[in-house]
Amino acid sequence: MDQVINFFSMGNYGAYIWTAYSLTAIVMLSLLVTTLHRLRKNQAELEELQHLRETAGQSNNKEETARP
Amino acid sequence: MSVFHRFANPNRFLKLTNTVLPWISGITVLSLLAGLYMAFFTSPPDYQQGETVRIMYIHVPSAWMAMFIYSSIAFASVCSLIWRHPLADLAAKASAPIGAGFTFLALATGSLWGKPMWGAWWVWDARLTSVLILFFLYLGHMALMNAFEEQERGNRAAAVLAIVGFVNIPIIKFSVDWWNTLHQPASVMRADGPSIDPSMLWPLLIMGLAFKFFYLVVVLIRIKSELIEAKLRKYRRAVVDNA
Repeated sequence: MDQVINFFSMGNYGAYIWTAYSLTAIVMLSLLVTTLHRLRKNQAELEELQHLRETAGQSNNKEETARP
Repeated sequence: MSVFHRFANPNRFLKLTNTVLPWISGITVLSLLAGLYMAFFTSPPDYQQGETVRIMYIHVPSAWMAMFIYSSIAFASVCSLIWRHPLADLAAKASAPIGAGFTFLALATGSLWGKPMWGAWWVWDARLTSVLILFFLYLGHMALMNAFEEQERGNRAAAVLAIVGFVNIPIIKFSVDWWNTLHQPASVMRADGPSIDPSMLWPLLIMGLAFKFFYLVVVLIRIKSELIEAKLRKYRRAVVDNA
């Protein structure tokens, strides 16, 4: 137990060190999560639109190329 | 330029991205775990700074990424303005928020390291100030990209800002040599080789690798997302035109 407490106290600098690591984790995770969320949302929307197009019976056999 | 043009085709780019993503995600997780383990368990406390030196393993890689991502944006901006590379604007747009995040982390973790070691959260010296300017350059780039009704104009304005702002990068790098500062001088990227002990250098390099691969993973997903958005815009326009 003492070892664990010792580890987390980090020579009494624990507050600085753990805050720094938590901030880093929060920023990196939120970057990843928002990025993945947007991708899922866009993919779902694209599928829906493509489905609508197919059911609308439009003949669009040509390969689509996304151009930014 | 032929290599760049090969991957300028969005479909080819998407195919390549989907192949490499699982691999680079795996490398990111493994190197992050190894780096964190070494940072906390195998690397010793510093003889002067004690345990606070462990902040280095996130502070320095964050600062490296802040500069690396900005340089990538500047490079992409050159490609966009000169060769009209269709993916360059997307790469710049996708990179900016990640770069801003890492710049914020470099500043914040530096502050948390500065307080116990220097006795101050912040000092207006050359290194800290130039990195703060880098943070504002990122914010300006993100704002400009979305400032115009016409995406093309926003892209061009942001590209010009990124290229002009690139002068800040060598200023950041050499600020610790050119001016008096509390910030310590370079100890890894030096002309005479790293001056830091291997027991600290290895975890630092592995964390640097982990951060770089993390950037690659996130930026590729963001570009992929942007390409889908471009497709969506095209579809919606077609719907409007038909109606």
